[in-house]
Amino acid sequence: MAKETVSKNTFKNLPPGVCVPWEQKAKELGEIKGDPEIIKNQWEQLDAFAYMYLWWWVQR
Amino acid sequence: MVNLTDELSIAIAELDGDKVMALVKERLQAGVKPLEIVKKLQDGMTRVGELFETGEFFLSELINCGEIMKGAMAELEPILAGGGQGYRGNIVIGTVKGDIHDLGKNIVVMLLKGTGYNVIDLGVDVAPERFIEAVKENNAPLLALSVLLTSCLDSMKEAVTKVKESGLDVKVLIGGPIIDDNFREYCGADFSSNIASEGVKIAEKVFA
Amino acid sequence: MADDKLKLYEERKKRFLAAMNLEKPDKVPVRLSLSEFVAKHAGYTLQEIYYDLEKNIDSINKLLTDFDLDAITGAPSLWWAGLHDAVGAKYLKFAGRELDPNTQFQYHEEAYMLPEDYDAFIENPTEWILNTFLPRLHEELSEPGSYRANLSLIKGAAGMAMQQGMNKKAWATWAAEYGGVPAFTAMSKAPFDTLADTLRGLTGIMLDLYQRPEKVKAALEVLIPHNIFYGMATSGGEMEFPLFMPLHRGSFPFLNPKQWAEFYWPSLKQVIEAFWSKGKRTLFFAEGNWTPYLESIAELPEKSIVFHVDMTDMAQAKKILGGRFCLSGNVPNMMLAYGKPEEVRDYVKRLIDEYAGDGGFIIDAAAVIQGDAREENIRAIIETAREYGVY
Repeated sequence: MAKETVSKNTFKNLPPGVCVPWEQKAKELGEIKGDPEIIKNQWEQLDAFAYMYLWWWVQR
Repeated sequence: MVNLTDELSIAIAELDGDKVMALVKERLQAGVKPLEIVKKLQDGMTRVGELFETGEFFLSELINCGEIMKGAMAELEPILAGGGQGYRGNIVIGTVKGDIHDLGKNIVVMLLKGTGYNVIDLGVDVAPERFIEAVKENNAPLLALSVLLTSCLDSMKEAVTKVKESGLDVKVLIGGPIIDDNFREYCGADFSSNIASEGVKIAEKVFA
Repeated sequence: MADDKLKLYEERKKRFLAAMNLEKPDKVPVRLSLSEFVAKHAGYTLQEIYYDLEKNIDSINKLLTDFDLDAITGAPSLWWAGLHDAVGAKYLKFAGRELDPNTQFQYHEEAYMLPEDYDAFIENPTEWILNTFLPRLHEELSEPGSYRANLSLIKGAAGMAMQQGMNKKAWATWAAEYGGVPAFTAMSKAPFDTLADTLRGLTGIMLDLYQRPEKVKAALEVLIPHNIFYGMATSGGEMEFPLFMPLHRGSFPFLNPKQWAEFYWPSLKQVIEAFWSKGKRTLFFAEGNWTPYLESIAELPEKSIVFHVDMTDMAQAKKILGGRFCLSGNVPNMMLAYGKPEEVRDYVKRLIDEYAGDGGFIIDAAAVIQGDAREENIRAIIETAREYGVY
């Protein structure tokens, strides 16, 4: 079987539905000129889609 | 029920893997014959089979016991001279064509091996021709066929029919959770069971 | 929606929901968990429905035209074999590739999670799935970062979205044009099954119970919120119909009673209670025999589940769970494949006489109905329930 070793995690104790938390992304984005809520909302939606894709392979 | 007196047999029945391994190594060093050690392990396994039958043990215990046995046998098999000696007989087993399920079959294999038979396990999705070849090659008096899916019952019937048509002198046992007497008759098999531990009793009859 | 179909949809839905709420509908509802049978009935090979999403969906149109069912479980194949090929997923074998074109798909179990993975899994399961689990499970992802690996992630995620989009559209059509009602609208699992089925495998989990019980408990604890989230996310906000929960390793005799009470039940109970507190009922699809555990299951909040009977003792289920939860089941699949319509008729009559009297009962087969079921036997279930199951 490929991939015998365990990779180290970047994040710990994330809530369900989250792959990369918005708080982390917001830090990286720095100054946001418009409404951060709009950006956050879209970030979280796509992040949750990625989450569902990953868990879809496990929840069956 | 067997009354266990040997420490190794008791350790197997109590699922104490560390103790089993330690005792096997200790006895080998002390010069005990490997076959005698195997016999003690088998006594323990027989007891485990009985405990499963009476409902005191569940699959979790059986599987755990099987892994302990595997570990012990890995230690013993290389030293057992000539393999075949000391076996009570050859049994060919496999899951019928079209079905890849092996949980039930593996439990039966474990119990049969544990009680001293040489089990030739052909695995899953096995064509009738392969069963026939293996029975011939090993001169096996018993062939055991396993099935889980109802959609593979026709495949079971085909396997039994072909084996019977081949004219080989072999008893056929069919097994699986949905197998009953009606289906055994319909297939033309000699024995049937939906309980793993009954496989051992049927083998006793065939090899009596 | 055509008026007559809308009326039919409302009638069936009312009947189905009433039973789940322990009320007496006009008739005993018929909910059949049909899978590969649907393909056979529509004249498709299994390879066609596994590989071609349109045929998979179209087969239900034919089913709904020919059979009067109060609730259906959706397209016969849950899985799209083409998507599995695109990522090289190892755990399902499909008709037309590894198996003959008309053979039932099969699950090939392995321990894709190893004992040494527990710590990383417990720390962050989502990241562990992407970095460690998927590269083991998906042949195409075996060298993460490579051209093929990156492609497999694009294809896999796009494929899931395509399949979900098509299914969503199909449900709208089934409702509008055939009055088709969904048996469930979400999916999740018992945390122990999540860990035991796809991650550690049967042998792996059984050894873990003896060798590293604390890790198992910690992993189950971590899984609880994920399994709740997964269920609510797959419901898409729909709250009237139940959530499908296929239950596996909790059946008798996998675990001993102590293990069941310690490892299987507490996390499952929390997940079901969380759904119920949000207004979502669980279809407790108890595959195998659950008779020894009925007393524990009775602890769940009233009406929070529909208890599906496969090989569980129906009389015991009625005695212990009746009046508390709706029951469903359990025409034996062997009978549907090898029995005669008269036997099926007698069996359904007996179910109605003995278990449906005060409402809270749904007729179904014991297990998912595959390609071996005979059409006349499926008809016998429906006709008997319609004639005989009037309150």
